[in-house]
Amino acid sequence: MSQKGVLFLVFLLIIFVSPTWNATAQTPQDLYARGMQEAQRGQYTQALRYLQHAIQRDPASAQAYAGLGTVYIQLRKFAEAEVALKHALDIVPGLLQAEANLALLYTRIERNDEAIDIYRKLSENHPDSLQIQIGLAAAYQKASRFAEAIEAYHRTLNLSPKLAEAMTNLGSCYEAVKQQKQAIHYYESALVLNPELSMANGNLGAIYQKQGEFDKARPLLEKAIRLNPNFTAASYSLGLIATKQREFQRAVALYRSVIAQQPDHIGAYYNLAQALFRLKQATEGKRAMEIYSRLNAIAQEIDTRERAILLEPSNPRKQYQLGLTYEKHGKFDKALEAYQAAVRLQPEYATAHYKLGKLYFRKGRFDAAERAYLSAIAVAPEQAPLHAGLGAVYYLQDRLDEALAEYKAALTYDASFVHAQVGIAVIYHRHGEFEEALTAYHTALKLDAEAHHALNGLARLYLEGASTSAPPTKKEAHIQETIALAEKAVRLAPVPQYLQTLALAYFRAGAHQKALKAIHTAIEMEPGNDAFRQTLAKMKESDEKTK
Amino acid sequence: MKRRNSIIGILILLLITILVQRISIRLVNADTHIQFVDVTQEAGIHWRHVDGRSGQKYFMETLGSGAAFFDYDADGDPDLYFVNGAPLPGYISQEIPTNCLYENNGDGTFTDVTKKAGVGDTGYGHGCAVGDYNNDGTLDLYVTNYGTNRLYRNNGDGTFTEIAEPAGVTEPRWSTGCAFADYDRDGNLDLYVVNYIVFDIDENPWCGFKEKGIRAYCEPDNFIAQSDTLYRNNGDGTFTDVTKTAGIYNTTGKGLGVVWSDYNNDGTPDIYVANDSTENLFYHNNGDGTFEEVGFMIGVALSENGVAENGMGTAFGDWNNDGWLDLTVTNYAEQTNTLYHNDADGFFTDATVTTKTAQITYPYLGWATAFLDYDNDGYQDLFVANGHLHENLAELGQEGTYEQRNLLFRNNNANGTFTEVSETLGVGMKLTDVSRGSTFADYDLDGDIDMVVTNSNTAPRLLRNDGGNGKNWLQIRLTSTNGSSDAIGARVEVMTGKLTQTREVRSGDGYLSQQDLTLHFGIGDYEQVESIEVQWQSGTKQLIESVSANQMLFLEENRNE
Repeated sequence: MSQKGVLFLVFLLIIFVSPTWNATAQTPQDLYARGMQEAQRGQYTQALRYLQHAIQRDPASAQAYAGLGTVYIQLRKFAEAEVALKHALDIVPGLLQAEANLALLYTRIERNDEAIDIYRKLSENHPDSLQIQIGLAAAYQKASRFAEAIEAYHRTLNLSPKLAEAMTNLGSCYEAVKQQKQAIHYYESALVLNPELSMANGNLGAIYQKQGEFDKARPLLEKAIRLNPNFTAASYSLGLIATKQREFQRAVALYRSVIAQQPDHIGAYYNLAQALFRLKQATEGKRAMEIYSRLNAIAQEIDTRERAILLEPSNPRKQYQLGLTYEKHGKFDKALEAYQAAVRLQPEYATAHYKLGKLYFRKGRFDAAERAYLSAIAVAPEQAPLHAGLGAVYYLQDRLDEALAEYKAALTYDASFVHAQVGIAVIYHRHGEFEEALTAYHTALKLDAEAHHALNGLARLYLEGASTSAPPTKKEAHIQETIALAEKAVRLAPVPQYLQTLALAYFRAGAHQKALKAIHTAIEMEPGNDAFRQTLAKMKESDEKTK
Repeated sequence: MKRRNSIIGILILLLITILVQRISIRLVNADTHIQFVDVTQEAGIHWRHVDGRSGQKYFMETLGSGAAFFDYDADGDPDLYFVNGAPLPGYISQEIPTNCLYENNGDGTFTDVTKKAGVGDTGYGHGCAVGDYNNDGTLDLYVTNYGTNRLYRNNGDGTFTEIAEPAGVTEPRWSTGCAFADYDRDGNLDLYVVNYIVFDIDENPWCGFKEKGIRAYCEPDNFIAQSDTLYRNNGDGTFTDVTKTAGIYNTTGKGLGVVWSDYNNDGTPDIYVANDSTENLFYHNNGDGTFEEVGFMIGVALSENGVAENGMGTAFGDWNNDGWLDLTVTNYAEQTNTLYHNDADGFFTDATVTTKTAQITYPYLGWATAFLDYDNDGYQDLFVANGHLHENLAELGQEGTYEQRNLLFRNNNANGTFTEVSETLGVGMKLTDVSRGSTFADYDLDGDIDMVVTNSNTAPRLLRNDGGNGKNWLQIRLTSTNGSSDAIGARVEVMTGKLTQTREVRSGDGYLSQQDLTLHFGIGDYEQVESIEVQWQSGTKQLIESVSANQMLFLEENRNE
């Protein structure tokens, strides 16, 4: 139950290069330098601005693209980071900053094999680079290749013997291969160098907890939590000690803190229920027990699928079924891995490619989604959902003509495929071809009267069209119909974009209070969406003018 | 000056080293005189377990079978019964394996009396339990099978009659553990039968690495669970299935081990069932003929982290002598066995880690388990029989070995921990076998507990305890006059100085096995027991004071005061 994560603190050092900033000049090089300095100060949005500026001035600046990718990693915009870093490498193959950060990115997003490949090549060329050795070790560790990780961490410690974080990670690896004595040794060594390392404190405490050495475990775990209040594994281990020592109130608080951080922590729910029963809080105990049961059923279902793969590792169908199970329970990254494994085993597995396409699309990795859909279409060209899926990928990349072609292809194979029909309507709509859009929306709604994207799109179309030439009475009728469409869309799928449409419709009809309520709800649902805030501002401005 | 200090330092260090060495030598010496000696052959036990294997990996081959020490002929020494497997499709042999009864000759040897006694069942057997179900003063025998179970009524003349069908306890499903107890306190022994999974021998699934053609035994998850069965004794030689009305019906459990015990000291026996890969079940006896399943709530259903483990064997015993019976359950390899502390408030705390029994059990696949005081020091120790179920572990990419040594944890008395000491207890405890069941009795009547361990598809081991009687002891044989003569369910407290030991007379225990009904108490250096308090299953209490050590005491209900 110890924290098996990897301490990244050490090798994040790699990402920033520190060029000199010339305050007066505005050459691409200066802009790049300024961007990197902003990044080092943690001002990532500013950094982005400078780097994008640098690229505008010099689109062939590999450094600027590498810097951009680096900043995107910090902003957790991983898809954008990958594009930028790859672009840098297209311009200057082998650019160290870009390669190293691409490897780091892959480690972050669990594409460990790809990370390892890059790090290994870098390691051959730069055997004395501390950061590269650490990166390689961490990638091995994240890939559960502990023997190789242990070797890599030892190489790291040869280069820098006092690297407490590397020692902690090495301790974790030894723990994973059940070499407790070695694990304890490295955790203790790390703590001698840096007593404030939460992970070393917590993991060492957890080992002692498992050994029943509560007096040793307790202070370490307490300290780990003090240093990092979100250290769930330490809180959980301390909870187990509290339970054993009959401090049930404390145990309840600790298990609740674990659950707050990790809502699917089965052990925490189990022990929380037990502690609550001990405190004679039967109702709450039973509630925790019910959640435990639900989570446990999911874990068992996944476990069954995973074990099936152990027995038949070359069966793509088993991988696909595992992917479906992960996806069903919201574990999308794991699902992605399973589908990838399925298509590796059977490159012509169209359904698995399709699933991959959908998941990549969901993650915003449109290039990967496009490849997946194209692979699926190559195998099963007459499947409407594949073309519609590819259409959606193109649409979100503003490749509207290609999107339209794919949606039309989908309808060729299945004329009743409503998603494709809506897609066509939306593209016409964006092109300003209102009549065609109107026809397409109506066709979609004939196919499925509850197609909420069509309802919302049509409402939007009416809102845009109603502002123009219709006579007053017709406008009145029109706006009521628009409100009805928007209300129905919201009822079917209460997403913030539909609420924005509804707000606009209410506002147009003069129902300002309702409009404000709807747009406020949209903002609450998606606080970072500037469009909703702008809508609100315009409504308020309009109200002010009327007053 | 500095130099002198360092020399003194070295001298102190040497002194400490010498002291430590002396202490460690003494600690080792404390047990080295106790040896478990394998006397199977010299005792005349030549029976072998046959699992009927043919390479088709039928799932029942993995479970093995149990054994019982019980005094079937009432001559004062415990006899020995073994349950056997049977040929499975594809198995080729001239001999038909049978269950086997050995009569204790009283001189350290046994004689096979199976045919004469009529208990040589040829079904695919697993478990057994003993009790005087018809209150005629003799011990009867119940045997579970994959297929129809057997109830052997003891005729009192050295023979038995099989009467499962007329008694209504055939239970044709796949049964494993079984145990008698008088749950409704009407004076008649009732019967709990654990049922495992649904398995059709004609539809044996192929499990393992299909691509490599490596076949393995399936896992419990490949099969559907079956509900256990509770039979109420009608008092007229027949039983009624009361599973549903008593609240026992549960189709989630894939049960193996079962044990009855009064965990909350309310005078009624409760039931614990060890399930293989599903939650263990604990049926609290409501005292009105019904039970409530409370395993999750009281903390004995799952591992410390809320995971259902592969429960195999189970036993109750008061390892800390506080008057409340604690619980243990054995599990699969790479799961620790679990030792629960009875908190005396209706709950149990998982004490596996704090008792230091966790890590050492981790690599072993545990089956039978028992609390016994092998060194007569007044504290119950803990035995675990081990053995894997896959003989091709390496091929399957799993760690460990098929044959494994058994474990014996010595109770470190008052400090709440155990130390695994089997390596110090002679060759018999160092053997590596594929063990399954175990039963315990002082078969040679020398004052220390001996053991029989059954092994899968081979001979069992009779391990004689030589030297365990270096300290004092007392054995108590109870005979009840109200209801079942065997006193199953009676509770005995023996008080010596600061020690108060509690035992129950119990049917069915550990894994598929039956311990001798004679209660054994080690009493250390005490030469006299201050008092013995018996709480009979009828509810009456009986107190006997000032009893000399080192004797077998025969106590009859409402007599011997």
